[in-house]
Amino acid sequence: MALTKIIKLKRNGWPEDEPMTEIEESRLEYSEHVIDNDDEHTVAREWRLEGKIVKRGAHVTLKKNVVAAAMAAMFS
Amino acid sequence: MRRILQFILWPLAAYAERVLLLYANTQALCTAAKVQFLNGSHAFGAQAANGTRTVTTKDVFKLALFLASASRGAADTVYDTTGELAGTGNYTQGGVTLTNATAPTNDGTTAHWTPSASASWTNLTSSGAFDAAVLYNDSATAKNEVSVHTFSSQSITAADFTLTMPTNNGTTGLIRIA
Repeated sequence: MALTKIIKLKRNGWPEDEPMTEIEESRLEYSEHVIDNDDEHTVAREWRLEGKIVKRGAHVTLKKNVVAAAMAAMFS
Repeated sequence: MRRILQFILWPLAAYAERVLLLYANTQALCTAAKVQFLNGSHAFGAQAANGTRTVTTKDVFKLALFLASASRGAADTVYDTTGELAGTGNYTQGGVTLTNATAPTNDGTTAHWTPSASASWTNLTSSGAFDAAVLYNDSATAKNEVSVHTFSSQSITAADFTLTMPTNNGTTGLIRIA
């Protein structure tokens, strides 16, 4: 059975006295969130246990960035 | 009733703060960095000898992550930890060193530079939601800030975060002078 590695979490309301190390993947609810616009392409992967996020990673690809316009003055 | 009102009003207040730009990161090439470009303060690449000076060593540039509640932008002059992710959950304040194997070049009339590899954080648990990366010159004594790059707000829990650079050309390169 596939196991998903999870570190002990103190966030998201998970009780501190119940450390999690590995958990059966079937118990987790998995979702993927994609953002694609002119500025970025982002894929976030999320695993939830009983509605609480226990693992969430993201890959952001930047598309358009900062530009400085250079100007040269003309002598007149 | 009071709790219900608090529940309704808190998100509205938070949204209003963002709209009024009290707390928001803004994508920008820092104004001070533009002056520093003219002063030759940042060596993104090495250059051949010229009559006045020769830059044989590239500077080290780093990228640090900032909370969505921070206010980084064009007015920044130097890197500092104000608004940066806390140094917890496998994040080290100061950020990561960027791989810089590709020298600045030009595409038509636009000069451009982009780090040659992604910036990534392994097994990260972010101290909060973040939506900006600050590029700064780690070789400079003052840690001069070069630019701010924004993206959708992310909160990472016990997983990897990767920031892949844009295509290095005159249209999308990370830093461009047109």
